[in-house]
Amino acid sequence: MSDWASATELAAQVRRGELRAADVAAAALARVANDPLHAFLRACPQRAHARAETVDAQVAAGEDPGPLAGVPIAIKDNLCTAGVETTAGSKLLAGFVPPYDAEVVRRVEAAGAIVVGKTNLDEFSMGSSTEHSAFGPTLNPWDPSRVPGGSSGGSAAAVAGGLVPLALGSDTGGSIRQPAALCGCVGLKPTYGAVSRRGLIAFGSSLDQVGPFARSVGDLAALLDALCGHDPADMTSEQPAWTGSFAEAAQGASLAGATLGVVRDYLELTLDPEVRASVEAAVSAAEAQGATVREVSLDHTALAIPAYQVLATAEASTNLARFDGVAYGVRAGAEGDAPVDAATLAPSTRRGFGPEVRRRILLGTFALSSGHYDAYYLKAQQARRVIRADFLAALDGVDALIGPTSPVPAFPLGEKLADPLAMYALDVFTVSTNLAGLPALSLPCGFTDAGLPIGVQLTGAPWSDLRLVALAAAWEQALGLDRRPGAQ
Amino acid sequence: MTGNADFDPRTPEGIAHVARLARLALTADEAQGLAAHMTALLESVEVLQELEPDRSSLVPSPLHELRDDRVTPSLPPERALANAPEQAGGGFVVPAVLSES
Repeated sequence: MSDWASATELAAQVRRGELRAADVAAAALARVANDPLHAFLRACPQRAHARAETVDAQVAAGEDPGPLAGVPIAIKDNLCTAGVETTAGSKLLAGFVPPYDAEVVRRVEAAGAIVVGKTNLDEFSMGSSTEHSAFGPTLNPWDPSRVPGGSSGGSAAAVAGGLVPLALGSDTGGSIRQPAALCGCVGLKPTYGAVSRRGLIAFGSSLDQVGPFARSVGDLAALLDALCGHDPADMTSEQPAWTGSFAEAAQGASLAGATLGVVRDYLELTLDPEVRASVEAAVSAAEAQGATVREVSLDHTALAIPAYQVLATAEASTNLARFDGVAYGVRAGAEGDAPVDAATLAPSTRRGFGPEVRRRILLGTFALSSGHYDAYYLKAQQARRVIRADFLAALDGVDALIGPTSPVPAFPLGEKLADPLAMYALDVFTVSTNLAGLPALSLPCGFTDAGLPIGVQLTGAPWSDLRLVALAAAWEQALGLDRRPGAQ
Repeated sequence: MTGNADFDPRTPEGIAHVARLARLALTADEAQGLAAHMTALLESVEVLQELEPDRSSLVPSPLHELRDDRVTPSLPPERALANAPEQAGGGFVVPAVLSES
């Protein structure tokens, strides 16, 4: 059932009239309907068929439907889709039908892509395994007894498992890059502000960024060209400070002359030995292509997860306060329970939050509470500043910092559910780039003996996204991996 | 207990206080489990207390530019209300806050 056609090939064929978008969409919808991974929470066939018809009509009329013409794309279910249920993986939002499209959804459709369905995630993006979805976990396409990572695990599994060539996710502390690493696909968290957050159901607004998943850097680049750009409706969005396109940057790129910084502090942390060996081999491959590798240090690495825990939960407690039972959500008491009054409306509605979301709301509320704000929230904000300063210093004269994306490959379902702190520790290499607002990309770099994918992370200076994609394209070519599950 | 800054979230009573601030309803069992979790979590973020940053490293970040104050179309009321648990007369219906008594 899987299909491995690249997004750029599909679009070229649709634009030349050799393939009908309607047929491409129908095939993708059939794969979604038979999704063996529970990557999707729902398909949106009506919307997909209507959109594909428009693309085919544009081709027939001699118009250009756009660079992603007819390419099926999956959307993480925390991105609003007008007329298509959007739940953020939460029971509380079951049945919520957004009245408008997220700006990124509008953009990918304007570029010709066909939205075929909504993908699974940890509830409100809070998790690293997609096991915290209220609708059941997603399975890893390389080994269905293991997690796909998270929180954008559905999007990563859908792309890596050959269900769709492209997907959108969101990344607050690694939620694109870690599942990309665990599923063997490419994922990028853009520079904060490069992509609009309008219509993204917020978790930690100063950390959240929407980004792409693809099976190759070339496809990732094509999607990024559609995604990035200023949106007046998102106050933190900016016109990117680069010139040229991602598609051009991904072509003919070379590692020769590039300087890569290996983060010493990361290699001193506990790492799965196969992850360490694979990343070291990838670094040697980059050197063989003419890259210069130097050691750099990030002195405040130990503060990253604590600062992230405090800031992300504080912002979440504020963002999720809007789920008070007034404007949306399932109102408890509506189905024969005791009627709600003003005092119990919010608490009874908020019973719809799962245990992980409640844990995080409580920590965030505490960190912002009178008498504790200075000791927690303020200290974490200060840590955020010194972490960013560390990164900017380490990136001086360096094109990208490199290291593992995740300390471990995909782990068995259920293994870390009982130990939240062990789950949080998985984000050690990813949260600091969100705190610092930097772009970071995860590229598959090898496999464990058991055949599980491993990812290497490239982190760049603010607005170096184009450069990161160019380096990743060259590195991908040098590594030459076959990234289809079962093909090794 | 509201207004008391000295509560300790590592105790079930402290958790119950934070839960009230967060408008979360907890059972006694949940409060017990969450107090244990909070103890471990606060220990794990304790390292932040050691940070004594150099003031010069704490430069404020630049403000984002505000867009022009122009009237643009917004959602029609019926679409904005479409997900309301209860609606009437073009508004959201909520339980009465003030009673006659």
